[in-house]
Amino acid sequence: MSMTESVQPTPPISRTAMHILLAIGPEERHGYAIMHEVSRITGGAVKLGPGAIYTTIKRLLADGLIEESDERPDPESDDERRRYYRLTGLGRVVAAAEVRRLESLVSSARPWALGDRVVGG
Amino acid sequence: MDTARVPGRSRSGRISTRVYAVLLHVYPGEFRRRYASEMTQLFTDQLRDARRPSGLAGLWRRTLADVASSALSEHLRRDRTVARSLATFHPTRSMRLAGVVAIAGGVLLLWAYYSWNPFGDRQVNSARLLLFWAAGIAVAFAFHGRQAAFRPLLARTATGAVVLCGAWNVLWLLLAWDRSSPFIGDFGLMGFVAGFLGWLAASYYGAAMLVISAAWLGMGRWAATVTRMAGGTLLVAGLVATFGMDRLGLTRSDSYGELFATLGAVGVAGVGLAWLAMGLVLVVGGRRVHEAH
Repeated sequence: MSMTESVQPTPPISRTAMHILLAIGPEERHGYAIMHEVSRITGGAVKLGPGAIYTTIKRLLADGLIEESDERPDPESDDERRRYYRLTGLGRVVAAAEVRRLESLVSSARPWALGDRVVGG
Repeated sequence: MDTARVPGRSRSGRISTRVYAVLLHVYPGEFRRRYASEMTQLFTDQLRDARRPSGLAGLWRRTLADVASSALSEHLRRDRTVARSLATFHPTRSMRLAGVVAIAGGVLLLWAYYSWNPFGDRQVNSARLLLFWAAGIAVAFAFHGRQAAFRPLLARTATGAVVLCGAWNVLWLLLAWDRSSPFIGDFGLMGFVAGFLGWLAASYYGAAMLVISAAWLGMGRWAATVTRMAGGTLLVAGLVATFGMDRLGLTRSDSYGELFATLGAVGVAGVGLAWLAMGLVLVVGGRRVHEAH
């Protein structure tokens, strides 16, 4: 492990938490939108239910990685009961760190795992 | 922002939504109060997406698995949070005040055993008994939070029993304040019921305290031992006090009467000793933060 990794300031987060952070991204999203976005970005491999989504949202709120948006949707166009969530500054840092970690993992594993590089070629 | 569509209003959809709303009761109350509305909304959205019967069955299969795993996870997380708060015993100011009341009630009760009838004035004697029952109520309130964190229902029934029966005794003593003896006359029956249920409630409280086992968590060794022993004493002494005074009129014989009176006195003293011990723990049994680590 390099020194950079050992002093990584971002806390370890669960896979579900990471999916939700990445699903929210730069937008403000409610539970239903988060559920669909997680399914979309994972190619349908991950389908989160309300329990998994809201227990994770509760922890992300407590950790300060997301926050509830003050804005409410127009009652004409959306249900007023919906709450929207967005990333905080810390949430963006954590999401970026996770993306970098995944990129590093993928780039190091791709040559042998997918066989799309010729050894010595 | 995404826009929501109007949820489906089919009969099966309405039934499913109601069943899901009931199912949400498996989550901790605090979590449910905050997120039940949003979760039900999301489930309704999913129902709308699952139009075919096979889709509905699949949704319910996934939903049951989701509820089971996330509710368990939330309960375990809550338990860890509670466990952290119980890791050390730091009585609040109100808990210490309750402890002072408990010590006063216990000492005044036991005083009568050291010097028989030291309270010649019957109203002073009634005030002594009144403070004794207030001591029980104070102890029950002081330990309730710790007990309820583990077994809410059992803790509520035990605290409720002591508080209600203690209040009944206090009310009886106040109503019979001017009487020559509160135990006979107009308020005799009320006093009989107050005593019978009061000692029984003390015994039940002791049993609940031992079963829940949360009262002495995080205490130092002596405080934990004293609290545990006080719980056991309450359980036994409360029962002895309940039946020891021959309240049910099992015998009229003088010799048995004396035996019952002695048993009753021992039982009452045991309960007083237990309140006194718990009061001491509340006042001086707390641990400083640096001692806990």
